[in-house]
Amino acid sequence: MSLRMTEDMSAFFARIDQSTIKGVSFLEIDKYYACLMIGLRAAQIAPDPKYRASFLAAGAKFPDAYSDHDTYLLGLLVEAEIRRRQLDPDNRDLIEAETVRLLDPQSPLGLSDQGVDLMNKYAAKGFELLREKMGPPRAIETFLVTYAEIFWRPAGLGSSQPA
Amino acid sequence: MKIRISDWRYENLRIGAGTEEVTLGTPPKRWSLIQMPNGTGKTTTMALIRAVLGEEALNASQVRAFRANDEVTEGKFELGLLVEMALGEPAVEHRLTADFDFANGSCTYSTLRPAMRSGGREPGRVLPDELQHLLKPDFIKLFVFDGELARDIRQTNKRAADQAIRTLYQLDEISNLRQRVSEFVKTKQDQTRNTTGRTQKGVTQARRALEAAEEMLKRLETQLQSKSANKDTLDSEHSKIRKEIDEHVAQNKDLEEQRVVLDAQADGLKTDIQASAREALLAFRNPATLSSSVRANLTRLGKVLTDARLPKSPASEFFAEIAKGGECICGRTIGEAERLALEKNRDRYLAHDQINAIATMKTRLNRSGDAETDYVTASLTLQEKLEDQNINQKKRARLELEAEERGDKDLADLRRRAGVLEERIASLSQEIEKLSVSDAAKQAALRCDDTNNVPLARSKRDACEITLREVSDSFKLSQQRDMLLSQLQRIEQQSLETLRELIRIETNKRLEKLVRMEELRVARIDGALELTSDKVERRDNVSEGQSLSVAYAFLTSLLSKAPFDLPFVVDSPAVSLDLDVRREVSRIIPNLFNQMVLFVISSERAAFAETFYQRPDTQFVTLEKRPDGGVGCLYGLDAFKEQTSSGDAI
Repeated sequence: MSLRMTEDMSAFFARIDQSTIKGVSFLEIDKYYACLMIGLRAAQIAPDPKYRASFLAAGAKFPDAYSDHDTYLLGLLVEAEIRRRQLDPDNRDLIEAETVRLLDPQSPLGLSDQGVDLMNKYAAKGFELLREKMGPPRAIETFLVTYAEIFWRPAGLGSSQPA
Repeated sequence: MKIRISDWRYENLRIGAGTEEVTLGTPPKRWSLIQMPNGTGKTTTMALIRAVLGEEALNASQVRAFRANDEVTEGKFELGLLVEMALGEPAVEHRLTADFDFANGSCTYSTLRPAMRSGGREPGRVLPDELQHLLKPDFIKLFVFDGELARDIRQTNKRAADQAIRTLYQLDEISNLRQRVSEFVKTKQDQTRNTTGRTQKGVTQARRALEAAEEMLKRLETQLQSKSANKDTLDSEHSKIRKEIDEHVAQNKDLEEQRVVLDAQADGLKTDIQASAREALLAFRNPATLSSSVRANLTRLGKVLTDARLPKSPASEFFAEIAKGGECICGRTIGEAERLALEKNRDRYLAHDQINAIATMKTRLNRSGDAETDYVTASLTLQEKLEDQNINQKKRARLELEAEERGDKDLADLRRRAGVLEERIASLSQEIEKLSVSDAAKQAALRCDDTNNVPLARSKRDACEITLREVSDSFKLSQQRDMLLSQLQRIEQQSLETLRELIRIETNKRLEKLVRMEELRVARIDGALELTSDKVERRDNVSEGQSLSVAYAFLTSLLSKAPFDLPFVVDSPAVSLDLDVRREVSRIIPNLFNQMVLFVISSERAAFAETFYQRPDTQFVTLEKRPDGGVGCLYGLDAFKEQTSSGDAI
């Protein structure tokens, strides 16, 4: 199991300029991550997404661009699940069990199969929320500005959390 | 290959309770006359010999029919065979056995080859390969002679004569080969993706589809080439006009100075935008700097883990070790109940690696607030730069407009032409992208298909090419199959006809010697033997003796051509013959086979069995009933001569 975008998500980002910015490229994982963060923040998952093949090679870890932040991604998944499932944060056993359910230190991504499945569903839901707020991006620069605006003004992104 | 029967052994079979063995001599004599009174098991013995030779599947009632009496639950029949693979090679003993379980009505076959080093019983019938293929029930009936066959070979509807020829010469193998050819082609064709076009029509359709796909690809490639060339021309024209526009603007010194400043500013902004975008992208990738709400979620989880004192320090491995060790660290003994409880509940605790992962995560989460540049700030800077760039571009356009307003009439036209070109170039770029894009996601976004996109049209062409190849191969295979099947059928038919004629001639030669009273001959073989005589053209009714003579002549003709030297086993060969015919038969038949096993009754001694008395290579065996219900086996001519029709030897 690995990270997968939905067909719509992939088509939405298809026309974004792929040229590098001072040696940094906008990657497939960036598109996935942009959607994932919105889904995690909203603590909502898509029920039955139609995925494309994974953009990561079989057995691959998080790409280098995210290798310093992978722990955060795992943590945010656990945190979103605690909110989505309305688990009591003071219940020690429950939180520990939830962590065990989602994480697998032996797997390349550090996630259990259930964890990967849920992360993909959060990303798929995040895309649905993102698409309501912006059209298909053409340039990285304008995407970064528009995405930041959407994140600052989360109204309609399925969360009542402040920016 | 030479095959001889050396002996057989009964155990608790219908012939009598207990064990009895019949040996045909060492080495086996050429003629063995086994005298058994009617009803003492001649037919049973023949059936048992056929069963073990053919490894026949017997049903429960057939099995129970072999039972000696109700008291026995198991029985056994063992046939000794000597197989000489080639002339001069030592004969190898094969003991074919049938073990009967009368209680559940089953029969198990096995083989013992005493000469083999392992020496043990092997399941099933184990014989040299050629024999394994040959020894099928229909074939076995030819030499473990079934009296029914003598009649069947003359009955047209039974086609027994043809079947005998087919079996011996393995013509059925040609039928099997035809079947295998058909199956092979079917399997091959099923493996191909395309299952519709195995006909000429299918090939034509696939060829047309490929031609259409090639045509479409060619058209799209031409379009792409033409549009790319067109765009290059327009780009070059546009650059030229832009240069002319700049030259017109430069004719106004103040405007030229402003242009230089704006261009320098544009260059600087481009660099700034790149730097800001890079910074924003890096900040975007870090959840801790993406937004304060995400950071808050991270620290909240860190706090949850800290407050819950997670991860717990005992690891599941700790409990596993205690369970295995048999003693707790407090010194208490761990019994079976405690061990099971520890094994069951240790899953509630994390493993070492999970503890470490959560501990690392907790540390990082609690430090997530320390993150430096945040995405909000970086994106705001980027936004400012983008706005500045927009203003710069507007100012640049304004300069051109001002130069035009100062009376430069040509500039207006140049600017209009530049605008038109820009629109056409943008439109062409979109068309070229749609025609040439190969990324699947982009193709989906642009609604590309094989009628408007070169890579997809190429894939379609490739797929059509594969389909045509598969369909053509499949069609060719069908043609080859039909040709081969027809050839095989012709070979089979011609072989059968040739063999029928050869055997007919050979049979008639033998009949000439066997039936001297009347010129009885085989007119033709067509499924069955059709007889004729010097008296009537078509001779359907013949006496028992004549019937048997025809059968012997036919069988010996058949078997004399076989590559196997087989024994011939026959039940009551002379019982239905009158004395004259018996003498004739007994004069000729013994020379037809190299081993004959003849089951006879006492009445066959006259004019038949007695003709063997002077033959030195003869084994005389007499089976007699014993008062206890079993049978006894007596060897030698004296006992043979003395048996009465009731089965009493003396």
